Formats: sequence, structure tokens, C-alpha cells
Amino acid sequence: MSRVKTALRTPWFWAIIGIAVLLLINTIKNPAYLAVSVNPTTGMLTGNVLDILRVSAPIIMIALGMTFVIATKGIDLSVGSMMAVGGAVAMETLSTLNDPTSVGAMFTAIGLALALAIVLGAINGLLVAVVGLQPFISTLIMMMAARGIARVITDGQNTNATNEPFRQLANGQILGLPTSFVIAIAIVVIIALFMRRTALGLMIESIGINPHASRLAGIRPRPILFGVYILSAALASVGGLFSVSEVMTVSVSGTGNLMELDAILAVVIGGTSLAGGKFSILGSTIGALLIATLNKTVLFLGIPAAATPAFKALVIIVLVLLQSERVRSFAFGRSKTKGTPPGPPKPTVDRSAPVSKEKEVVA
Amino acid sequence: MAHNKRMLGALGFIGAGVLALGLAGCSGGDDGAASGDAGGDGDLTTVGFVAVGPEGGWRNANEEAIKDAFSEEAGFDLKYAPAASPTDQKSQIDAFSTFVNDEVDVILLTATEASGWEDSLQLAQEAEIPVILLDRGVDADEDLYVTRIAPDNVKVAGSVGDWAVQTYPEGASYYVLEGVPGLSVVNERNEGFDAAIEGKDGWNKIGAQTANWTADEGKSVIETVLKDNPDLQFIFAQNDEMGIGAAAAVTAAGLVPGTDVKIATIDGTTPALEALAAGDLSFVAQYNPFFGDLAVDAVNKALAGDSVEKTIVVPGETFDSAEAGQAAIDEGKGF
Repeated sequence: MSRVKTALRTPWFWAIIGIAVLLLINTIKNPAYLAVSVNPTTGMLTGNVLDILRVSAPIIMIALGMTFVIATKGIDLSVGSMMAVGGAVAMETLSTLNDPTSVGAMFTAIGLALALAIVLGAINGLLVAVVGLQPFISTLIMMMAARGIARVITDGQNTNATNEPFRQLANGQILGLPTSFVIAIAIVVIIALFMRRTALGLMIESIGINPHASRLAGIRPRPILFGVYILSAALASVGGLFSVSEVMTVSVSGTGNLMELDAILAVVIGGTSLAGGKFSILGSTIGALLIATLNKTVLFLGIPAAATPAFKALVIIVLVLLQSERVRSFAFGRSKTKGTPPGPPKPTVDRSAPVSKEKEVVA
Repeated sequence: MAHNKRMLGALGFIGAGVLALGLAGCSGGDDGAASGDAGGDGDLTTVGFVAVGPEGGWRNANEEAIKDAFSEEAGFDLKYAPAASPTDQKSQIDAFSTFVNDEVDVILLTATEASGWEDSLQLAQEAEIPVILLDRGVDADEDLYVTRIAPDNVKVAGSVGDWAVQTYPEGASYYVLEGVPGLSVVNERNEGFDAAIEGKDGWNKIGAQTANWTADEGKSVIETVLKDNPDLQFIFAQNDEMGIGAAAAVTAAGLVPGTDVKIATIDGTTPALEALAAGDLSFVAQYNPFFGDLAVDAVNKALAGDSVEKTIVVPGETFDSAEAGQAAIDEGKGF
């Protein structure tokens, strides 16, 4: 019983329910929806679920980076543009090297894309940690600047390139799973271990709760803030690489367009509070999967293009309402726990949950 | 106080940085507009170009063609103002009113969205600045602008429809990849295609969905559609990039583009002609971007007070085979 209660209070529990309901609706439309089969021509596994995993990879990457930024009470609006920068550098490098089969060319492209993203992330970190600008403003500036940089890199053209190893990032499979998804999950696991097996995660949270107090406690906020913005930019760049490797072309204005909103949504659905101070890596990953599922559901149900934003908003609102304990207790007519004062209206995320719960989640 | 000052300094520093970046962003294309007419000579006709900016190969070719045609040698000073992003109408409206305030001689407008231009156009009319629409139309009274110069989307899409009817005499199940919803080009391309196949037997529309003009979304849409409708025969992609994405999805599903699923696109960019030559696409209808000369003509007539037709149609070509695609590339018809 108490387990059920804990589950109900875990924000990402409702995201999982959301994914399940969406998959169920699709299965009702076509009973073969969940089927996974081997394609006789290409010899690869195919299925709607695999498609969802593949398109979720870039969202997982940007949501992961966004998680830590938000945990420090910041926000990174530049991740969508950073995806375009990553994609633009990779495509431009590959088309310049013009070596369609070379693995070396692939690594050069990835390395350059990461290097530039780290530099741009460091500028974000500089503006926030040293200059002391609001993260919203700093990253808004970077959002516009990075899109401009992507245009400069590709000379304003949508650039395409041919490189089979790089194309395999999105189009290949490892043990039947899309390569990009496997890489994304590997990165998530490595970073989760790093955050939760060292004190780093705790330090990030403490900065989000009270930077001044954590400074007095001996935590230096500057390097950590620098770090989270660089990490966010680098991960967004990886997301951009996954995104452009789909069709091996970067669209300077289309790649990563409005993806920062998807990232913030995934993070919030996953239970990381926008007020900072705690984060859930698992939650953000599930949130990203939910958004990918939602995007694919819209396509599968054949919802008219004009109604798509409204449909997505509806799903998200229902989900967010379900996450709110107040709405739940109201809707299901449960009496409130005695002795709990009716606190201020909680936005989307249940903040009353103890921080220690978070540790179970990741470990 | 001291702290405030430091913050101001920092803000200024950042502002300067952003400006520099923005300028760097512009320098890719409009060296013509920026190069100094230091003498302030009044001979040049000042032309304000409210443009869309980098959106795809077609847009780039078109805006380059306009910039080339309105050169200083031809007697023009072109001020190029691209939108902040290809869907950002507000930045366009701002640029438009700036041009009105600066009292340019003519305004060229390629609108990101069809609606919401009446007030701006009225302002220009009051200031007696003729407005010429390039490519995209607007939902406004015809008296508010001089002319609209564009390839005819309805006709181009009609040519795709005609080809489809010939290729599938018994009809086919088809899917439409649309551009950003709400654009006049999307509605017109639908209209032209629908008119061509209307009344023909056996045409079964599986659906239509936006892929926002991009290749990766085109791929994502078609891969999901193919899962539910493996018998899909024909895809009408409203631009080349979505068509190329669709071809990637068809290949990934183990089908052969051109044999199992035929894909027709509109625009005629070089990558699409290459894809046509390689057999990935089956039909490309050119949406001719090279109409700088027509625009110069219209501007001169408008300034001279001559009457100009309300719509000037730019003629285009169609390419329906690998050989035709190769020939078009060789003749430099791609962009």
C-alpha cells in the first residue's frame, strides 16, 4: 500500500502511465503497433517502439543537460541552437573531408562539434557564474548567437554530407536497439553514476537551494556552474549529431528549432523542480521518452497538422494535473493528511517529496 | 551603486559581443548591401527587402538572385533584412516599419506568414512607398501592394498532380508531406495537386501531416506512416527536403523508392536533382527562384508610375526521370 502511495507521489510515475496510455491508444488503432519484426530486406529490426527510442535520443541528451542547469536554479534556452551548431559543424566537416567511409572523418566531425559546443557552453557559464547575469538572459543571448554561428559555419545553406559511419549513429542498430539510443542511455548511466556516486550531484542541488549557504559550507559555486553549462552545451551538441545523422543533412533554421522547450518539458515532467535544488536523471529520461512517444503518436493517429499543438498541449496538461497532489486529492475525493497546512499553490511539480527519495530513484 | 555600474559595463560588453556576432552572421551573404556608398549619392534607388533569411536551398537561391539583380551597377541600394527565424513574423513587421520610417523608395516583401500584414501595408501606402510581394502572398486587399511576383504554386503542384495521374492511371494510395501550416504556399500546393487528381478514380489519400519543410521530420513522418500503411504507393512532398527525408524512410523500411513508393517533390534544388538522378525521387517540379530580373522590371515600372499586373507568374520546368535530373544538373538548373 505504502509502495503504491510512494509511486503515486513520484512525478515520473505519471509519465510512465502517460507513455503506457499513448501506446495503448496506438495499439487500439492498430493491434500490430507494438510488434517488432526483422525487415527481410535490410536485416534490421523494425517497429514503432524502436522508432520512438531512436527519435527520443536527441531529446534525452538535451533534457539530461537541462536537468543539471535547472537544478542549480538556472535555465538553458540555448540547447536547441546548440544542436544546430553541433549538426552544422559535423556536416560541414564531413562534406569538406569528403571521405564517405572513413571512421576517422566521423570522429573528427564529432570532436570539432563537441569542442565548439564546449566553448559556447563556457561562454554561458562565464556570463552566469562570473558576470552574474540571469541564466535566462545569458542563454537567450546564446540561443540567438548560436543559431547565427550555425549559419556562418554552413554559409546559410542547408548542408548535406556523405559518411556511412556517421549515418549509422541514427540509422544503425546495436543488439537490435537504435545506436543513438544505446549511446544516449550509456551517457545517461555514466553521468548518473558520476553525479550520485560522488558528491557532485549534492553540490549542484545545494547551489540550487541556496548558493550563499552552500558557499559558506565550503562549496565553490563558480566551477560547478561553469561545469553544468558546459555539460549542457556538450550534450546538446551530441543531440544535434544524432538529429542530423538521420538524413545526413543539417537545416540551419530547422535543426533543434524549439527543442529547448521540449527539454524543459521533459525535465519538469520528470520531477525536477524549476525552483532548483533537486533533480531526477531517471525522471528526465522518462520525460524525454514521453515527449518522443507523444510526437510519434500524433503521426500515427494521423491528427491534422493544424490540431497537433493543441493535442500535445492537452496531453501535457492532463499529465501535469495528475502529477499535482492537490488536484489528485480533489479529483479522487481523498481527504488531506491531517496536520498539513494548505501550502501555497504548487505549480507542476510535487516539491513536498523528501530529497532522499531522489537517491532511491537513481541508485 | 558601484555594483550597478559594473553590471552596466558587463551588459554593454555583452551587447557589443552580440552585435558583433549578429554582424558576422550577416556578412555571409549581403556584402553588396553593406559595401559603402559613402558619398551618400542620391542616384541610387533605395530598396528595402524584408526577407525570410536562411530557410533552405530555394530561399537562398531566390534571395541571392534578388540581391544580384538589385546591384549598385543597376542603380539600386538594396537593404536586406532577413527575419530572425523563418517563422518569426514579428521581426519582419519591425523591419518593414523601419523601412517605412527610413523612407526607402520601394519595399520588397517575402512574408513568413500570410495574415497580419494589413496595418503595415497601410503604413507604407500612406508614406507612398510601393510594396512588391516576392514569392509569398499575403491576406490583404490587392490595392495595398503593387504586384506579387511568384512562380504559381497552384500550377506547379498541378503539374505534380498531372504527372501522378499519368503515372498511376488506376489511382494510388498517397500521402502528403506539408510545409509549415498556415502558409499560403502550403494551401496553394494542396489546391493545385487536389485539383489535378480530383474526380480521378482510385485515389486514396492516406493522410497529410506537416514536416515543417525539414528532411529529418519528413523521414520521421513517413517511417511512422509506412508502419501503418505498408501499401503506400505515392508521396507528394511539398518541398525537396521533406521528399529526401521521405526517401530515406522508404529505404530504411526495406522498400525501393521509385519502384515500391514513388516520391514527387516541388522546388528543384541541386540535392533533389541529384536524388532524382540516383532514382530516389521520381519527379521534381521546379519552383523557379531566379526572378530577379522580373522584380527589377516591376520596381522600375512602379517607380515610373506605369501600370503593373497584380500577379506576375514566373515560369518553371518539370523533371520526370533520372536522365532529366542529370541533364538539369549539367545545365546548372539546380540551386
